[in-house]
Formats: sequence, C-alpha cells, structure tokens
Amino acid sequence: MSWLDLFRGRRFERDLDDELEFDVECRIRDNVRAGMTPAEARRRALLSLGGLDRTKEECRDGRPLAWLESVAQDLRYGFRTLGRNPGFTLIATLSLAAGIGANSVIFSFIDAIFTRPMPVARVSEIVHIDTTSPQFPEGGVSGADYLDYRNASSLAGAAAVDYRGPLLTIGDVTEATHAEVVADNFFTLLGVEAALGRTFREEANAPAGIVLGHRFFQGKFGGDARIIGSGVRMNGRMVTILGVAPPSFRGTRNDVPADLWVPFSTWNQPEELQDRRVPEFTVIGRLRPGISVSQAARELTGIASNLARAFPATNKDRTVRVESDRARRMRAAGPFSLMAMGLAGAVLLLASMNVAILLLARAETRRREMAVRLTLGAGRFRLMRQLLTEAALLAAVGAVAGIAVGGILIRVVPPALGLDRFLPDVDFLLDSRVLLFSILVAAGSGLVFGLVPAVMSARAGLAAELKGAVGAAGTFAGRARARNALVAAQVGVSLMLVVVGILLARSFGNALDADLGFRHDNVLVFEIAGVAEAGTGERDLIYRQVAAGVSALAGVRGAAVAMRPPLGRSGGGRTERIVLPGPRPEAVEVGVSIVGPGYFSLLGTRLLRGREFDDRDGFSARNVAIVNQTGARRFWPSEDPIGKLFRTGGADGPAWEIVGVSRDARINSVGEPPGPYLYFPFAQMNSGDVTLLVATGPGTAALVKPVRERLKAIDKRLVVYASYTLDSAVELALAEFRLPAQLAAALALVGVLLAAVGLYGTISYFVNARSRETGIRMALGARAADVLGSVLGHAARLAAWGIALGIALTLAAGKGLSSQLYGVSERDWFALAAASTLMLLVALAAGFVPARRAARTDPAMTLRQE
Amino acid sequence: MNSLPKTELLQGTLDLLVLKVLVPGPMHGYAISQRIQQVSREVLQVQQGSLYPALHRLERRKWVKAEWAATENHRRAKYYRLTAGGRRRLEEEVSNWERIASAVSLILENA
Repeated sequence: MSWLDLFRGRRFERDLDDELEFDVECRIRDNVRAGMTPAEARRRALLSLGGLDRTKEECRDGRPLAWLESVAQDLRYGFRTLGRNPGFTLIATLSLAAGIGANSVIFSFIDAIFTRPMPVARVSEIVHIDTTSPQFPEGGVSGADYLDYRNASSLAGAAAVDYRGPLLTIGDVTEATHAEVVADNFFTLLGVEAALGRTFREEANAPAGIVLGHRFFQGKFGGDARIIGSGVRMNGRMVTILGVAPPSFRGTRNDVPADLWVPFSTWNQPEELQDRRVPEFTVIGRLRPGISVSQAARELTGIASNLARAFPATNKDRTVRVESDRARRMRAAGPFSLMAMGLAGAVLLLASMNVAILLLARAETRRREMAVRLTLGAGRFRLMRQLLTEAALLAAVGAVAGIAVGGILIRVVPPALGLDRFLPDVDFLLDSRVLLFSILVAAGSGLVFGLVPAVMSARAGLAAELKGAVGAAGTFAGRARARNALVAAQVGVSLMLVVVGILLARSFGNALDADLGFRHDNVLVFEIAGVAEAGTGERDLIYRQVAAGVSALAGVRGAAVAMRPPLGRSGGGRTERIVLPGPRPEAVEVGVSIVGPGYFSLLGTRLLRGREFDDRDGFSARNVAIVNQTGARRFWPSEDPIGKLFRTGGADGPAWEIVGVSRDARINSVGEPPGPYLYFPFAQMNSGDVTLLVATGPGTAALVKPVRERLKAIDKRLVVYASYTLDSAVELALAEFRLPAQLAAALALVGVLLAAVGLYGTISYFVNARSRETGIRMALGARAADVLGSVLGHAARLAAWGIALGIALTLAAGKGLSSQLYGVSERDWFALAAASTLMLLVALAAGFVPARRAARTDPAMTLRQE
Repeated sequence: MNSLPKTELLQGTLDLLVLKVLVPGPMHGYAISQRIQQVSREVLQVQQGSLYPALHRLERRKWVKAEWAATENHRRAKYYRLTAGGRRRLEEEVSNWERIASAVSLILENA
C-alpha cells in the first residue's frame, strides 16, 4: 500500500459499488426463488443491506491514507463553498489580509531593525558580554576587562568590537566610513568566510590590512575584484585591502552596516586594550559546545568579582552580563516593538473575530445541511473536521492575501513614514523569517475563527434542527449570545486601539509644541573630521579660524563649533565625573558638551546669569564652565552659582569656575526629563567629535558648498562627514513620537473598519432572522420609528458592552504604554471619552442600514410568506 | 423469512468465522454470509454492514487476498481467498476461542 492508493481511489469506489451490488443481486435472486414478487424481493434485499453509505464509509475508513483522501474531499468541498459565497469570501479574505498584512509588515520592520540574527555559523553559541556599573549603565566592556574575560573556560573565544569612523582616501577623494575595529580573531570566531580575498590572519607582524563590506565594495570600487591586495590610505596611513565580506554579513549591528573591518593589529592603539576605566568595547563571545549561557554567566561573574577585588578603583560596582544573541536582540527591540506588535495583534484579533462572526452566520444557514448529514451517518468528528478544513482554507487564502498586502506595505510604508531617511541602511525584506511569521500568524488566527463556530455547530441539537426552528430556540439564543459577545469584544478591542492612537497622537502634539530650549530653523550642521593629531594650541587656533572664516561668508549670521548639536544623531552621552568641593566632597556623574564661543547666542539658548564662552576662554586661560538651570539648582540650591568651583578627574583634578547659567535645553531626546548638564569651552577640553553649527538666513541649502570650500581652504584635514539642517535633526528626534502615532492611527483606522463590518454583519443578521417577528409587530401597529429604534437600540447596547470592555482593556494595558507617552497620562479621560463616542457613533452608523431595512418591512409580505 | 432471534456476534468473532469459512476455498462476500448462516443453522446472521468492512479489514491485514473472478453465472464477483498468514491467524484465533469457550463453560458448569 502506498500513497498511490490515493489515485486508485476511484477504482476502489467502483469495486466497492460492484461488490455490494453483486450482494444485492444475489439476495434478490434468492428472495425470488423463495417465492417473493420481484418488487418485494428487491425491497427486502435493500432493507437487509441497511445503511449502505455507512457500510461503504466503514469499508473506506480503514484504508491507508483514507484520511488524506477525505481531507482532499473536504478541501474540494470547501473551495466550492467559498466559491458559492463570493461576498462572504471577499469580506473574510479582506479582513484577514488586513490583519495578517499588518502583522507581517510590522514584524518585518522590527526584525530588520532589531531581531534578525547575525548570519554567522552556529548563532546559538553566540553570546554578548556586557559590564554595567552605576557610572556606565549602558554596558560595554573595557579593553583590559575584555582581555581577562576572553580566556574564560566556558568560552571558545571572544572578540571585542569598537565602532569608529576612520577616513578612507580612495584616489583623491577622502571620506568618512563606518568601521568596526575588531579583534584579529573576529571573523574566525564568527565563522564568516571572505567572499573575495581573505579575512584576518592571527599572527604576529601581520601586514596592515582591512576587509571591506560588500555594499561598500560595490559602491566605492564598483565591485572590481582587482582591488584585492592593493593599498588605500586610512587616516593617512597605507593599508592593504585583504578581502571582501559576503553580502549577507553586514557586521554586528542591524541598523548600521559596517563599511569595513579593521583588526586591532592594524588599528594599532594598544593603549585602548590596557584601559580598565571606560567600557568602550562591544564584546561578542562564542560558547564552548555544550555550555549554557547561565554556566558562562556564572564563570564570568566569578571573574568580575575577582576583578572587583583586584581593581576596586574601576571595577568595584561593575557587574557582568552574558546574553544569548537572541535575548540581546529581543531586549534591543524594546517597549516600542512590543507595543507595535501588541497593536498589530489586536488588529489580527479583530480580523479573526470578523471571520468567526461570518462563519457563525453561515453555520446558521447551514444548520439543516449539518443536521441532515449527521442523520445520514456522518460522524460529528467528520463534520467538525469539515468546518475546520474550511477555516484552514480561509486562513490559507488569508495568509496568501496578507503576505501580498505585507509585500506591498513593506515597499510603500518606509518611504511614507520617512524610515528610509533615518535608517537608510536597513533592509526591509519579505524574507523567509517574515514569511514563516506570517504563516504562523495566519494559522493562529485560523484556529481562533475556525474553532469557535465549529464547536458550536457540531454541538447543534440534532433532533431539534430537524424538527425546525421552534424546537431550536434554546440553541439559537446560545448562538445569539456568542455573536453578541464577539461583536462587543470587537468594539472593545478597537476602542483600545483608538484610545492608544489618540494618546500617541497627543504625545506627538505635545512633543511638537515642546520648548526645546534652542532654535533650530535656518541652522546648518557640519560633522567634520577634527584635527585630533594637532597640538592643543594649534587646534584652538584652527577652530577660531573656522568660526571666523565661516562667519565671514555672505549669508552666514554666525558660526560656532561644538562637540555635537543638540538632539544630534550621534546620540551623545558623554559624561564627566565632577567633584563638588565643600565640607564633604561629593562626586557626581554629569552629562557634558563641549562648545565654542557664540554657541548659546547662535542657538538662542538664553543665559539666565553670567556670560557665555568667548575668545577670552582660550586653552591657556582660566578653566571655566557653564551649568544649566537644573544643574545650578541641584549643585548650588540656595547660592549664586557664578564663581563656584568644581573639579574633574578626582578631588585633585583641575578646577573649573562657573561663569554662566543657561536655560535647560533638550540634549538627547525631546521627551527626556531635564537633568543637570555642563558645558566646557572647546579650547579647554579635548573633543574627538567636532561639529560646526552655522546660522544662516533663509535658503540654508545654498550655503553648504561655500562652507565646505571655506573649511577645505582653512585646513585640508577638516573633511566633512555629513551636513544636514538642525531642523532635520529635530524632525528625526520627533520621529520617536511621530512613528508610534502614525502607526497607531493607521492600525486604529483598520481596527474600527473591521469592527464596523462585524457590527453591520451581526445587526443585519439579527434583522433578517427577526423579519417575521418584525412583520407581525408592524401588522399589530408598531410604527417604523419603533422598529428603527429597537434595532438601533440593539446596536447601542452592543456598543455599550464593548465600550465597557474596551475601557477595562485600555486601563489594563496602560502601564505598558506609559513609557511611550509624553505629556499625557495613560488614563486620559478625554481620549477615553472621545474613543467611546466614536465607537458609539460607528455602532449606530453600522446599525442604521439594517435598521432602515427592518423599518421598511412590509407586514403583508412577511405574513404571506407564512 | 426467519423467525429465529438474531444473535449478535462478539466483537472479533466475525473475523474468526470468516477465516474458517474460507478454508475450503475462495468465496465471494454473499456466499460467505450465506455459508455462516447455513452452517450455524440460521442462528448467526451476518449483516452486510459488518461483513464487508470486516472483509476489507482482513484484506488490509493480508489475511485474505481478494480477486475478481467470474461466477458460475458468468457474473463478475470479488472472491476472497485465505493466505498463509490468514491460516496462521485462524489457528491462533481458534485456540483463543477454545480457551475462552472452555473457560466460560467451566464457569457455567461449576460456579
């Protein structure tokens, strides 16, 4: 017996028919011989055969693969049923396409930005190692700590990674790159082979070389393999291009692909690996086979406590964390991703409930069919399976439609939301992971909408069904309750979506209106490669020339250098540990920026007291600093901060005198709470990052070129990495609020539409089911307005239940939302009231069409139908 | 047609009877049912509803082999023939049955 039997099915049926027919013939013959009339003989023979179909079914059942054949039969039947009800099929497919499509596209974004794993060998062995301390809560590992951790016996190896932006000179063009400076064993540890040439060799005196990213290789060298082995200048030094990474491997970060990889031996700054203070490296490890993450964590924690004893100055409060690659990426996805998936899940739930409502309505019309099939000997299990097959079929059709919708949205949404502008290097793909996720989502939804009606239909009272509707009143009421509950749940879930949409929209509005503490119109930002190798005095001179030279350009109102612009893309986060003198010296970690003369006036950030930096504050002048309002209040609560001193670099470090108090301005994000912040003069504190801020009149774009040229003229080393308007930086910072608001608004719209369809379908169904009752009522004198009112009343009752449920849901989900909100509480009564009103109106609108139909019932017609 | 009360066959007993009846030679389904009825002196009635599923079951277990052949009236009919495996199975079933039957009669006589 084999799967071929499936194709032999037809012959099997014919043989079975022949065999049983032969049996009947024999009986007829014997009965005639026994003296019966031919008619009587035939009747008796057939009678003795009993349930012919049941006999056949039992003969078939045990056949191998019979189940598969009957599944095929169910599928054929299912397809016919779907084809016979195009309206039903269309609405169900559209609902599912919306629900599944929304999930596919949101999952694909989150996966592309955060959760897609590194394409490396045996990724399950990869772990991320981080150390955290009160001073450096963000993680990372110091160079010296890394050297101690990497020899742990639970690790097959570890590699440190540092993200740098070296300048690469190709021909006579110099440009800034995103490089990953990595341990020499980086590629061998990950098991990534070069697509062209080779990766790094771990050997003493290896020649200085780099590996290019595939995209960079294509873009800058036109994919010309002859460049392998040739030299390029990196930060002015010749290095050899050793090879090109495979296209799939973009480095350790999903959002910023590496242009190139530089081994430590080539980068040649061994002092970074001696430093134990700053955890500047990202460390990736590979577990030895058979070792679990927690075993490795235990060993590394042991090492951490040894280090804390040996080096209390740096490692006293430092703990180590070991995370699997998957856990790390899930954590990176963060609360926003969780919220987005939650909202998309709610839309899917609405879509599934819509289909369940449709299936329930159809089950109603098919009750007789089911009852007849039950009496004819079909097993309940078989009927359930038939219904589930149809649901699975719908889910499959929905999956295909949803993936198609998702495929379109993945192309359309990123440009529409501006995602391509601030995540230009993220690939939003409909890849196998997204496909698998979509299929799982469709299957889950099919289970929801398939099981509910199937269970309810198969439970249908057999005898009652055959006797007619009168006897089935009890089950009808049960089903009506289920239907009403489903619709009320739909109203509730979509109410929650609407409330979330309103809250996020209000957050975005608040963020837009927020006073950032600086002006950002007509300001250009140039990120420039500094002159790090120049001496302090020369640097000071060059930046004075830059500010003066650029200010002198026509159309420029002012220019100032700074470590970074407010809300700059690079994130910032530089801190200094300062010591406040006094009876008991206190050390505090404070966020800092380093700014040149004219910075505050250029950005319109008012100084509440004192003065801003000017040309007096040179490198050899008295050390000065400016503190913001919050910092002044925190450090010198009841005194005048001007003239106060503090120290950096410990109690014996250099002292700084406060010369000004500035208004609070946003530093890293629009939504951040105000914190203490210090500004140091550019001439007095070194900064590797240099930006030039240029205030202009209208028409900022025209000034980009003259500024670049002026910079080049002042010093050839002042290469511009990037230039953009401060407005665009603010816009990007606002995206943190804009994206969730847009996403939630779109999902809320889809959700309300789905709920409206569900409401309309359900109320129509009840109107149809009660048309006889309505006719009788009208014949007895009920007016059209009464009928209209009673149907709309039903709609309003459904809405009321739904609204109550929705408010409960929203309040329960509110905690998860609060981190995404700005200037509005998750228990915002305005949002709840507005959303409730909206849902009530939607319910009444959805109920109005069927209500009018009911009010137009012609009593004579209905009564005649009896 | 017959006034005798029908006796329901024990589950599994039908297989034994069918196998036994087929020992002399191949037979078609109707003949099998008639033969059982006849030999049991009309006590055992085999319904088609049980017989044919049982025959298909035996066929699938390879205890009988079915083939189409012409009857003496030149009608095509499906004949079932006992296989070697079927014979072994029959012996097992017979000894099984005898054990049960003697056990039951022991109880009926002595209890």
